[in-house]
Parts: sequence; structure tokens; C-alpha cells
Amino acid sequence: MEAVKGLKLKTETKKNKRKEVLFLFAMLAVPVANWLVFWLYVNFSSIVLAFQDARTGAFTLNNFVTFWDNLTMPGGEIGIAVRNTFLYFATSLFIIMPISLFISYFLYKKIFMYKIFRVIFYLPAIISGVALVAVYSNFINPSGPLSYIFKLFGKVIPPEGLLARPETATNTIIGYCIWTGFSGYILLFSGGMSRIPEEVLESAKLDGCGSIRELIQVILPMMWPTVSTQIILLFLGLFSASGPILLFTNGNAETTTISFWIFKQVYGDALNSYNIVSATGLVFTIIGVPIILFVRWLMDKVAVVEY
Amino acid sequence: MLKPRFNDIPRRRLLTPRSIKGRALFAAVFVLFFIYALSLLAPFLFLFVNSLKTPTEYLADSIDGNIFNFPQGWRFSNWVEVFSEMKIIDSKGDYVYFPTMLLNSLWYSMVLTLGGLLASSLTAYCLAKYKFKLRGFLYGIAIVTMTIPIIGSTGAMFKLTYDIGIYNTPLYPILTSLGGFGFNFLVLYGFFKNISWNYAEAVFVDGGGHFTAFFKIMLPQIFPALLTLGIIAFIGAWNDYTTPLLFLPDYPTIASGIYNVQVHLKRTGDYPQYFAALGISIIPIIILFATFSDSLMKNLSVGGLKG
Repeated sequence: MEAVKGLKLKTETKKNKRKEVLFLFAMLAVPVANWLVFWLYVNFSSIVLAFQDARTGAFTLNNFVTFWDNLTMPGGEIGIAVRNTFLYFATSLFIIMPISLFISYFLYKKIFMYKIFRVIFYLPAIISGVALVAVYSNFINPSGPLSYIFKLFGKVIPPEGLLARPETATNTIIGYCIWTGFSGYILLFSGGMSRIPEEVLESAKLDGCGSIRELIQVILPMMWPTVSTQIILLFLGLFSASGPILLFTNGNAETTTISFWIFKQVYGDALNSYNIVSATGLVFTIIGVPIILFVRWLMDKVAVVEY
Repeated sequence: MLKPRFNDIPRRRLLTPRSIKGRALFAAVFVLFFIYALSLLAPFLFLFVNSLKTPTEYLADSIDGNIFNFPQGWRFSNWVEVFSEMKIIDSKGDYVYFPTMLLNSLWYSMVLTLGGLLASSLTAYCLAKYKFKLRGFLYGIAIVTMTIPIIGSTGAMFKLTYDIGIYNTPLYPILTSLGGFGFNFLVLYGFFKNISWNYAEAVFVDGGGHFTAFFKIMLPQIFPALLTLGIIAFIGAWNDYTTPLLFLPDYPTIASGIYNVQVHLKRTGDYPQYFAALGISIIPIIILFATFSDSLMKNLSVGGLKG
């Protein structure tokens, strides 16, 4: 009797196991196929393209030579793209992120009208870039509202506009990125702050801790996982850092960035520019991997406050 | 790094109110917040008043620096005429009108949102709740996919979509949306981990299968997370102009279509109609945001990456 029961149980588990395998297969088949085709195959074929001649398809290193020449040539497009990409990246890391932290702090501290501010400050994240750029371009017109602010400082916007001159164009787009860049960080940082136990802040405040000290010495360490994740994500996008170049200048006036340059090569260009795109991408990916590993290691080194 | 010890706080300091210096700081920050909030609201006023002018009136006001002047005639007809007049020419030489762009935006955003959510729920659920041989490998895929900062595979992607015949067809967004290993995966994985397996056990006891447990019991439980991620994905897809420009040139969405209109704007000069179109493109997003902003702000901060 016991043996029969055991056997029945065994076939039952076997049947269940098979059902489970079938279920898992049905569930995972599509996402895995998607990954195999649109991630693995695409990236593999991108590496192959990097080593292929555009016309004959034969193995060559010429794409990398072209890339290097373009990078080091004075006034070369890739060289300009790299410089601008770093500018956008540095702006995010050293300006947008710290200011977002301050904004989040004062919202968290329930500054007067904080509920309204929180909603308004989130608007840039949901309004289309096409609309925002259209309005911003009107603001920075030689006769737009910005010209009044310029006048206060005794300056005049050049008649051809700030976006037409290489000296001012990229900085103007960076200004746009700062203006619209806080939203996402504010949301995430506010979330991080809201999880800090109140009694800790209560005690810090009552301990005579000023606002700035409270933010840097108490709040920042306690929400470090949130901040460090954002820093890692930022470094993950190091070589993709950019503004809406297409909408502002279409890459003119020395405003191109790596990601925009890639976009432009693929958009509206003949097939033979893929190889140089792939070669360029491969170089920056290879540089990017150790950087991201280092940053992750560094972020883990910073002691996390347990609470 | 920081271990607050409550016992150390001197009793008398517990009663110290916010200092005058602190109040001055909050007042100064309030002024800055107020100015920044105004600058974020100004675009709406700008789009509204300028969309109601005649083209010549707008140009005159723009040159005089009066971009916030109220229109002389309040031409609400501009907003209506967008639907019948605004158009772009596709690759076959046919006109694509504004209502079609709206429709394209709708299905494009829906497909990307639902496809992405479905695929990542599938992978997240299987990896969070089942133990099987490939589990570690698939989790590794998710991590690697998100850790390697890949740049420049756009060319290879373009070539692939061309080769398999999904370039410039609705199949492109349908097939590419089904990726299950991105940011959504991580968030949903966390949510599924936190749901007790007992719910599924109860289904099995009642004779239900794995699919019943997933679709009827588990999936509804993470609905708030799905809603939040869905809204974010929808807004992102609605505002994305680069992907439709690259891969769906004959299916202009409202974002890529208006961009194309803008390219030729200097020649046609009908800026007010363009601003009306931008205004119309924003309205669905504003409604969506106004409806769900509370759950959006709450759930995203709770379900953020980590911490």
C-alpha cells in the first residue's frame, strides 16, 4: 500500500514538473527570443560590421583608422562630439544632480507651497521635448525674454541668435538641459528622503544642525543607495550624454555629440556609414566598461548607513 | 559612518526653534523656486497665446520681443484647422494628416507600453518565483544587459530591421517592445519577490494551473506597479520622436510628425498652427498626469531601483 502511494506521488510530481517546465517555456520564450535577436544578434553583428569594409564586406581595420583620424583631426566631427558629450555628462553630474538634491531637500522640508512646486517641477519630464524646445528657442531669441536679462548685465544677444555661433550654441543647449533636467532626480531623491526615519532628522535638527549640514551630513549618507544608483546610471550613459541636438541645431555650429553623430549617420544616410558607426560605438563601449566597473566599485566603497 | 545616539542630545536644545538664519534661507529658496516654477509654466502661456494669432501677427510680436502679447483676434480656428490642414508627405508621396498622426501616436505608445509590461512581467515572475536551471543565466542576462554601456549598435539594428522586413512597418514596435530584461524587469522582480507564494499554492490546491496563478492571482496584485511603469512608458513613447523618425518614417507619430512640420516651418511660416499642434499633443499627457500624478509620485519613489 505504502509503495503504491509512493509511486503515485512520484508520477504526480513528475507530471507537475513537466507542467512547470511547459509553463516556464511558454512564459519565457518570447522575451528570450526578443533578447537573442534584438540584443545579442544586434550587438554581435555590430561588432562584425566594425571590422568590415563598407563596400566589399571584407575584414579590415580601416574603420578604426577613419575613426581615429576623425577624432584627432582639428575640427573633426568626432572630436567635437566627444568634447560636447563630456560637457553634457559633466553638467548632469556636477550641476543638475546636486541642484536636484537641494530642490528635493527643500521640498522634503515642506517649504511653503511645496505640494504645488512638486507637481510643477515634474512637468519637464512629461511635456514633449519638441514643445519645450520650441518655446525655449523663442525665449532665447535676440528679441525674446532672455534679451532683457542680458541687458541687465550689459550684454546683447547677437542678431543671428545664440544657436548659430559655435562659441555659444552648445552652452545654450546645456542651459536648456539644466532648465528641464531636475524632474526625474527630484522624484527619485524625494522618494529616498521620505524613507529616512523621522526621529533621526528630528534629533539632528534639535541638535542645532543647520539645513545645509543636515542635508550633507545626515540626509545624504542615509539616502546614499538612491544617489549612488543614479550616479552609476549616469556613468552608464556617459558616452550617450546629449541634449536634443536634432531639435536645436541639427548638429550645426559645432554642437554634435556622440549619440547625435551616430543618429545622423544612420538617419538619412546611405548604408555604408554603418561600419564607421559600429567601429566608433565599439571603441566607446570598450572604454566604458572598465569605467562603469570602477564607478560601481567606488560607490560600494562608500559606507552605507544601515537603518 | 553616522550613528546618531539619541541619548547624547542635550535636553535643553530639544526646544530650540528654527533659527532666523534658517528662516532667511527658506525664504530665499522659496523665491528661487517661485521663479523657476514660473519659468516652467510660461511655456503653456506662450503656446496658448501664440497659437491664437495670425502668422504675421506672431512674427511681428516675435521681432518686437512681445511673445506674451495677447492675440488681437483670438483665432481659435487655428486649433481646428490643425486637424484638416497640418500634413506631411511620406516616402510614397502621400499626405499624412494630423488625425492620422494622433492615431499613430496612440497605437505606437500603447504597443510599446503593453508589450514592454507584458514581457517584463513574464520574465520577472518566472525568475522571482521559480527555481530552474536557466534561472541564474537569465538573471545574468538582465544584469549584463543593463551594465554594459553599449553605444553605436543603432546601425546594426537598422540593418537587421531592414533585412527581416520589419523596417517601416507596425511590426517594428510590436516585436521590439517585447523585451523583458530592462529597468521594468528589475522593478517588477522586486514586487513579485515580495508577494507570498502561498497565494499560488492556494490556486494549485483548488486545481488551478500555473497560468491561472499568474494571470488571475499574482499579476493583479502588482497592478499599482504596472500602472506606474505603464504611465511612464506611455509618456516616454508618446514624446519620443527619434525612434519613429528612424524606423517608422511612413507612420509619423504626433512627435515625429510635428518635428517634420517644424523642419519646413521657416518656409511655410504658419507658426501659430504649429503651436496649436504642440498644444494638442500635450493635452493627453497632461490629462494622464493629472489623473494619476498621486499614484505616480508615490509608487515610483517606493518602487525605485533600490534603497
